[in-house]
Amino acid sequence: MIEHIDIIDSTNALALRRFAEFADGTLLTADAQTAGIGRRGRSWLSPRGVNLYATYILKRPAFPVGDAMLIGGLAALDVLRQFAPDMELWLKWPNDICRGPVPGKEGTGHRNEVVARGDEQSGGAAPEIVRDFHGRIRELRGFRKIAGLLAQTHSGEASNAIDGVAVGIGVNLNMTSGQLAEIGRPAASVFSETGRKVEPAEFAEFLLERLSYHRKTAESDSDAIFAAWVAENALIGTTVEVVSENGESVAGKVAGLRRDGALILKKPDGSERAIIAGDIAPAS
Amino acid sequence: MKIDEIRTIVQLMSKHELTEFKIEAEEMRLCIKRAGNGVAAAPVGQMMAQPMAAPVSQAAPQVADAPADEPTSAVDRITIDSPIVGTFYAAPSPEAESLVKIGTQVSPDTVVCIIEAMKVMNEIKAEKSGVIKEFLIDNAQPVEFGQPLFVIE
Repeated sequence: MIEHIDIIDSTNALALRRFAEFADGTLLTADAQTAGIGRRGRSWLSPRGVNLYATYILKRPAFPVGDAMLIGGLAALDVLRQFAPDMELWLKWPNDICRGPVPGKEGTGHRNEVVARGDEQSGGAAPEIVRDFHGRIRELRGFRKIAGLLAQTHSGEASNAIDGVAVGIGVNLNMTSGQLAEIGRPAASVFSETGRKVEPAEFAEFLLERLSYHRKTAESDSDAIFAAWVAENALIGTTVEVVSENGESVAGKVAGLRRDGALILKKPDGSERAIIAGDIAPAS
Repeated sequence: MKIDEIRTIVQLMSKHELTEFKIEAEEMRLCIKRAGNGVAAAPVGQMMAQPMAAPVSQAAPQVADAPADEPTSAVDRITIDSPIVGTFYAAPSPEAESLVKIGTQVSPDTVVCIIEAMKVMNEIKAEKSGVIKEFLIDNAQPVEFGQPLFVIE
């Protein structure tokens, strides 16, 4: 079921605050968020009525909690493709959906490659990492983010026993290029890329259907949902740099994604390293 | 105990897929925990488990090696331990203040840190009462299941 509210600090925050009040499988949506957040507390711009701001509530799931992110990513990707079939879309570890040619993979026959190449916003954009003075990534150039996810667990009072998870899903639907510029990082919306407007409520209905579909897959075959998620992670096989929050950087070719969500990097010396958290950028 | 002997124990644990090893002698106690098959065991109700960042072929052990009669040893002190495997964050965002500091009074429901595991963020509660005396881990570092994070008093 979809529960819609007018304005809230963040749909994830509401879901976690009032976890017991929402039924398992609820998709919580809002017209606007006053304090929308992404991974590691980054703000998520949430102007009223423009985009999808939603949280999918899973209670005592019969699969590893980490699969919630896979379900959310695959479902949002499905619906974006439904509304924008001409757009090249792919998942970017750990929690983004991007549009545009995959850096280092041009010419590999990814979906609608010709359309994407003809777009001046992405064609010829050199992969580049812009850092702050701490060495942390501020901006990743070379592709544009169109959606992001933030999954947070819920646990009982004074306890760390997990009883569910809130999967926040933000999708840029109708932001104009001017609004996207306010984000401060390369970003896209369905409208900016296709010129078509999408009604957030309609998107939410399809999203809930796809969330339920992928949840059933995870419940019946957790390996199958993982395989589907890996297949959409287009940076596998490309050379990237992963930077942790404390500035540590590791470069190498993405050899794969592990079942626990770790990114496996093959370094130039041939050794492999599993990365469990960080920001990923195409190596320049 | 020499480091080579500890290394041998870790290798034997890995070979035989043991997840915990304890030994006590007159002058020392040693406890080693490791993730089985690269995935740590989790308590009932915790559905996530994740290996720490390490070379793929290794499961990094957690080692506490201290004389038994030393009152500040890892064995004797009261700690808040990680309930899961993941990445430790002291604050909700890189720019934010730490959730707790030295001297912060915590109750069982106090959120003391965030651990990212399997791409999911987990607010970790103290589950104990006391005052934070020491941080045992730096921000954005990997943590193992059961690894002490804070000393409390």
